[in-house]
Amino acid sequence: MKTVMQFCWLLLIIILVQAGYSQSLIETKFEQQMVDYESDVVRCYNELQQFLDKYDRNIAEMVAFESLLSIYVDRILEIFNTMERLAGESLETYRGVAARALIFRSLTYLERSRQAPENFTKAVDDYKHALRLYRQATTIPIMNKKLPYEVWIGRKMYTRLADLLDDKNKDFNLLNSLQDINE
Amino acid sequence: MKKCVVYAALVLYALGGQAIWAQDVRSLYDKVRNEYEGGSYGTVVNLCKQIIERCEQNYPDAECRYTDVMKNVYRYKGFSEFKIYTQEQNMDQLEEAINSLMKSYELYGDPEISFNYGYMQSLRAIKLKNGRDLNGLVNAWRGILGLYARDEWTVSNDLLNKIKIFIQQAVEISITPPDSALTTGRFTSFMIRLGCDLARKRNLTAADSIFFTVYYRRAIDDEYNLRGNEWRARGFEAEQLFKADANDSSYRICRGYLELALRFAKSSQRKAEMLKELTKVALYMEKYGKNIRRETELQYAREKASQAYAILQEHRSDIPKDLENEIKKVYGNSIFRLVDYYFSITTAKDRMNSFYHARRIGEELLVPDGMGGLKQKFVWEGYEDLYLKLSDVGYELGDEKFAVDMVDKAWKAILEINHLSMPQIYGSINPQTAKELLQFAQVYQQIAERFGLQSVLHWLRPVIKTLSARSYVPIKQGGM
Repeated sequence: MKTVMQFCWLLLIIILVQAGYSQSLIETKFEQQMVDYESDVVRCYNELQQFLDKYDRNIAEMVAFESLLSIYVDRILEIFNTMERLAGESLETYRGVAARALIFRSLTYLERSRQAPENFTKAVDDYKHALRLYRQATTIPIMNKKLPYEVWIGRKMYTRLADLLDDKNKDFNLLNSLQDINE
Repeated sequence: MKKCVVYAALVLYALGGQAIWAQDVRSLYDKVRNEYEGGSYGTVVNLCKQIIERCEQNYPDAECRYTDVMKNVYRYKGFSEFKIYTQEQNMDQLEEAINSLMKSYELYGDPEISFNYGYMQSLRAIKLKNGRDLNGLVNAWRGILGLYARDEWTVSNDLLNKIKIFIQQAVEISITPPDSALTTGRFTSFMIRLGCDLARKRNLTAADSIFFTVYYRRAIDDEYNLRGNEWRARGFEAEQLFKADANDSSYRICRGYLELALRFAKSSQRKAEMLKELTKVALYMEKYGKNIRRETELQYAREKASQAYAILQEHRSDIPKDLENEIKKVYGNSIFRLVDYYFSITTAKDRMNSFYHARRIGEELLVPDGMGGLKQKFVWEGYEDLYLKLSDVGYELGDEKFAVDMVDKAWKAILEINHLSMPQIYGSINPQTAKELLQFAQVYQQIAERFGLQSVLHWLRPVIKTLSARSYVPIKQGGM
C-alpha cells in the first residue's frame, strides 16, 4: 500500500514538473518569436528610412511599408496578449518588445501624417498604448532605455527611442497630444 | 372549369417555388461542397449566392450564424469565381473572387485565404498593368506569416511553394508596366529579401537553393534595383535565344529588354554594361541576321558603344578592368565594321563620298600621336585591322600622309601583337604568322608604290620575299 502511495506521489510530481516544463517551453518559443518579429519590425523601419532617404516619397510604397510593419506589430501584440492571458502578468521582456514595436509603428504612421491626417490619430493611439504598457513598471521608462539593437537613419545611429522620437517628431505633436489628454 | 385550371396551376407554381425556397442552408451548403468537388464552378457560385441571399432575410437559418459555414461559403464562392476567371479571363470574375475571399478572411482570418486573395490582387495589378498596387503583396505576406506561425514556425513544402509564387509576383509587379516607373521597386526588393530569408530557414534542395540565391542577388544588386536586375536577367536570356535564331522578332525582344535594363540601371557600371551588350547584339544582328538594314544596325552599335566609352572615361574607377576591355573591343569593332561597310558599298557614282564617310567614321577613334600623325585612342583586340582598313581608305582617297601614317601604324601594331621585331622576321616564324604579316606588308607595298616611297620599298621588298617564303607550307606528298 505504501509503495502504491509512493508511486502515486511520484507520478503526480512528474506530471506537475512536466506541465511546468511544457509551459516554460511554450514561453521560450513565444519569446523567441517575439524577438524575431521585433527584429523584422526594426528591419522594416530601417528599410523605410533608407527608402525615404534615397527616393521621392512614393505614396504607394510608403503605405505598403506601413502595412507590412503593421503586420509584424499585430503578430507581436497577439503573442503578448496570449502570454498575458497565460501568465496572468506578462514578463518584462514581452512588455518591452511590445512597447518598442508600438513606438516604431507610431513613428512609421507619423511619416505620412501630413498626407493622411488619420495616420496621426493612429500614431497617437500606438504611442499611448506603448506608454500604458510601461505605466506600472518600476524600471527605466521604455523611451529612455537603451535599445537592444541599433537604428540607422541616414548616417545617424540611434540607441534610444527617446532620441529617435525627438528627431522624428520635431514639433512634439505626439507629446502635445498626451498633454491635451492630461488637461 | 377554366378558372379551376388556372387556380390549380397557381397552386402548383407556388408549391414548386416553395419547394425550391424550402431548401435550407444546410442542404444548399452540402450541395455546394459536392458541386465544388465535381468541378461545376458556375453552379457553386449560384448556390453560394442563394445561401448569402437566404442569410440576408429577416429570419435566417441557424447555419447563417455559424462562422465555420459562412467562411466556407465565401471561400467556395471565391475559389469557384477564380476558376471561372482562369477559363474566361474576365476581370469582373477576378474582382468577385477577391471580394468573396476577403469576406471569408474577415469572418475567420484564415492565413491560407489571406495568401490567396493577396495572390489574386497581385494578379489583377499585373493584368491591369498597375504596378502601384502593392496591397496584394502585403496581404499575401500576411498569409505566409500566418501559415508559418500555424505550422509552429517551420517552413513546410507547401509554404515554400507559396513563397516562390510570392517572389515571382513581386518581381513581376516591380516591372509592371515595363516602360514606366510607378514605384521605385524598393518595396518589392525588400519583400523578396524577406521571402528568401524565410525560405532559407529550412533545408533547401539544390534547385531551391539556387532559386532563392538568384532572386536574393537580383534584389540586392545595383543598389537594390530589382527592376533593372530583372530586365538585365531577361535581356541575357533573350540574347541566348536571339543568338540561337537571329531573326527580327528575337532581336527586337532582346534589344527591348536590354534597353529597359539600361533605362532602369542605377550605377555607371550597369549602364556601361548594358550599352556594351546592346552594341554586341546589334553587331551580331548585322553579321548573322536575315533581312536587315546593315547601316542602321552598325550606326546603332556605334552610338551605344560610344556612350559606353563616354561612361568609361567619366567613371573609370567604377568600371572593372574586364568590362573596360570589352567596352573598348565592341567600340573598336563597331567603328571597324562601319568603316568597312562604307568602304565596301562604294559605287561608281558616289565612290569618293563613301570613302570620305568611312574616313570620318574612323577618325572618331583617332587622336593626334604627338608626332604629326594620328593614333587610336586605345588599344583593343583587333586595332591593327582598323589601321589597315583606314590605310586602304587613305589610298583610295589619294591622301598620302593619312594612308602612309595608317599603314605604318598597322605594320607596327601587327608586329607588336605577334611580339616580333624587324630582324626576327628573318628568323624562324610560323607560317600562320608569316601569312598574317604578309597581308599587311603587301598593303604597305601597294601604298608605297602608289606614292613613290622608295626608301620604304627598299626595306619592304626583302621582308615580303621572306614572308612569302615562310608562309608557304609544302603539301606533304603521300608516300609510295
